[in-house]
Amino acid sequence: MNYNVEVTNLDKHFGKFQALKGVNLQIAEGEVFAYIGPNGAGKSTTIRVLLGILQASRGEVKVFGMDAWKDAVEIHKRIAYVPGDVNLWPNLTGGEVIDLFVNLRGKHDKALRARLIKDFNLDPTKKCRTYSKGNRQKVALVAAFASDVDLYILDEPTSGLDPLMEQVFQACVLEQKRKGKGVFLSSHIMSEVERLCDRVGIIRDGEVVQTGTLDDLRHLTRYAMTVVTERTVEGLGALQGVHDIANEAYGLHFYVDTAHMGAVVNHLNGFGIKKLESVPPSLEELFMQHYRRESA
Amino acid sequence: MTAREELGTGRGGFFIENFANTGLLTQFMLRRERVNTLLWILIFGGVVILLVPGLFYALPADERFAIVDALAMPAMVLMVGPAYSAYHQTFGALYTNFMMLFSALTAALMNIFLVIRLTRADEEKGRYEVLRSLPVGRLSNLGAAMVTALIVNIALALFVGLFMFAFGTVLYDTGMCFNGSMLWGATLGATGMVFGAFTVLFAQLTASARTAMGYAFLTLGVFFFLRAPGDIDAEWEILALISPMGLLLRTEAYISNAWWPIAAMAGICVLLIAIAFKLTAIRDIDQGLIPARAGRAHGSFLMKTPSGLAFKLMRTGIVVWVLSMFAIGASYGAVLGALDEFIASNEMYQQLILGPFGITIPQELPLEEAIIYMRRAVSAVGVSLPQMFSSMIFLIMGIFATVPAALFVLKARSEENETRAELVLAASVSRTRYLTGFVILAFIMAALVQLFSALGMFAVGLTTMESMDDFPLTFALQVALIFVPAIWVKVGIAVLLVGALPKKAGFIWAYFAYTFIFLFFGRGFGITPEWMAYLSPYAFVEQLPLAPGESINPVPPVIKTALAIALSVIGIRLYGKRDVNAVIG
Repeated sequence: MNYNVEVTNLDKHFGKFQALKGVNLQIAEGEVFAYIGPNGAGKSTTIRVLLGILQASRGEVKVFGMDAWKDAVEIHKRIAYVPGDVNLWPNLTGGEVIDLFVNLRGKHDKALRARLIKDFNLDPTKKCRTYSKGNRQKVALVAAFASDVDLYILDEPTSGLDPLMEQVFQACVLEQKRKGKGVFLSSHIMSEVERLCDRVGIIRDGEVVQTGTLDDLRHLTRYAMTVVTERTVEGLGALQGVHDIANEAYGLHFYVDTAHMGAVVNHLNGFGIKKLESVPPSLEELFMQHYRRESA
Repeated sequence: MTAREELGTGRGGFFIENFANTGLLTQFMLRRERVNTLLWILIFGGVVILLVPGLFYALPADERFAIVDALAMPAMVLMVGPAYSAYHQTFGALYTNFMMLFSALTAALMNIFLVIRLTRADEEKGRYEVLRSLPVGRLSNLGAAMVTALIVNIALALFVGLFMFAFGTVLYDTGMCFNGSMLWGATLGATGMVFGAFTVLFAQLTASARTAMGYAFLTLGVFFFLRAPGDIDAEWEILALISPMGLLLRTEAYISNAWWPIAAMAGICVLLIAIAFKLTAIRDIDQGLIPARAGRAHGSFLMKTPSGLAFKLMRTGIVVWVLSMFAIGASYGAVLGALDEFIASNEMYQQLILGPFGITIPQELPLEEAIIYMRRAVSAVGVSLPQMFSSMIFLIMGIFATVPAALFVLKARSEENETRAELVLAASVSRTRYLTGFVILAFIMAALVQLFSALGMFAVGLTTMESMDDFPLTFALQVALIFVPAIWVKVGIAVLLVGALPKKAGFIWAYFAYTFIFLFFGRGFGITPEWMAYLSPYAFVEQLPLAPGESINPVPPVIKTALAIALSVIGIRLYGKRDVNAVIG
């Protein structure tokens, strides 16, 4: 298999502070990969290393099979990058900035540029100084999607967009996915991740704690259970993998680790089950668990 | 339609609806401004005050009025205003003659910045919106800004006026009376207030804070030049009277002490502010009455390369610097015709200008004889006085020219800081190519500012000198351009800093200060040990003019150029090897 991105044992130090600790990532060609984690976890640092803007302290970082640091210019011909906090030149217009980025990357598709400006509802004749955060992001997004590249690196690209523009953005990503282009998306918007991404990587405190498809990740987490039984349930708290038991008016409510589901259902059987509900965790809950685990 | 309909007429009544809480807002603005504006007043006012004893001792009493002829020349009147001191020979009159126009210009600039900060900039950043959501009147913010400006200008006027009177009293026979001193301060304050009022008016008309500031600067410039014909020729005095910059010179502090121009300026302020109030009531928040011009929808050819981008970002800066250096050169060209008196009457200038050629004029000689002695000594060396003078001027200009050149290199660093460099570097642009664009511009800039200051000096020199044989164009270019390789070395050091020690790139300014202090005071005046000057590339610039028959040694400029290129190459290499903007996150 060919990989767009291969990161092996990546460390990054800023003085004494270690921002990345042995990060490993493999992203296949044509894959849409979501990179998520709390603020300050190291998402943007990873992206900056991928872009050859920061140098890895240790480890190997390859993009399109080339070294991210040494072959940066070659790699960047096939990459489009959109930062979350787009800072533009106040005295240039949006149109000028779009042309600058597209020109620097290479080919210029005028029709595509015009269509994207229309779709994103952007006025390219305004100076960047007068744009809101959302409009500056649109400038960067139009410049990215108007370029014919193989990998889009998007660092929280929609944090300033309205829901309508969010849809336009998702349509753009899906269009690139259909064309077989790769996307590396860092995001906090779970619905976006759920809809667009093939695989997810979670980073916390500089370490990648999970990678896999959404289904893979669901298996690692807890189901919410509600049970009504003929007799009072006893000994549930003593079982492995059972958490947060609460006796509610509608029944007994608790969480079960996916791995221990079988044993718990067997135990409950002994009390005469009248009603049993199990709800798989939403992506949101799934990430909350991961995000929180460390602080607890 | 009456003003009352446009303004608030709700339950609280006219005053409450429009001016509620103006007092509190004023207090808040004064607190916001306490550091910024206090520094302005102390530094700017301090310079105006301290130049009183400064000039007093630099120009000894018996030689003080030798320069009056130079001040009366049209080129000098254009720069500093009417030559009052020609008919009213006191130190106070001379000081007003020298300092009033430029001090008032600075006061105007201070007020333009202040008013923009307090009004339109707040609106643009969305801070004004928050204030308006509180129970404040529709005109409160503008009113508070104007009251704040008034308080600031009164403070400046009192500070300058009182200290000038104090110095005038302590020093001997200055003619600086209390009335004149207070008028001096009041003139600065009134000029400041007038331009504050112009600014607040433009802030209502334009679509952004920056455009408003641009209009204010333009107005200031137009009024500055509009008054000049009126100051030079009485027939055109009306032009000086309709320009606030001419009006302020009519106060004639320490000469006739006229207060009527202050009253006239107060009237102008009231009128402008009233119009601004009216306009702010009929416009929407963060909108201008003059719609913004649509910009380019497409990038020009400059938007195809990183060096094109660098050029586009610096374009305004290039024009402003080149024109300013031309103007500074021109202002020195204005004195070329009166150098004899100028130098013969001042010991400091003799030391700086004649010293490098081993000429000293015996102190006991009266002025006329000193001039004859000096002319003989200079022609014995085989050069001319304007050449010697320009050599000293271009040493200073050459040191000063590092400022724009180094700024262009540091621009690459600030682009990095503002996270814009990575947007370009994330496209297929190598570090080398990116930084080289800025560095080449800096190299060109160094040559350009020297070239234009030489041209400025030559062009105005043509009008003030009887014959240009003493100062041919070829010499003007030589004496300016010979400093260019030294400036390039400084550029190289700046590039090295950006590459190797990006967080400390500002050190280049310390080196700039070092050069200035040790070359000027060390070599010029012999105050600091001479070897310290040799840690600066300027010490290795050949002293022009050369005696007849000698020619410029090409080795030092070539070595400096090579050194500058080597430093730049190393700097660019190191830039390619380090992290860009190491931000954690």
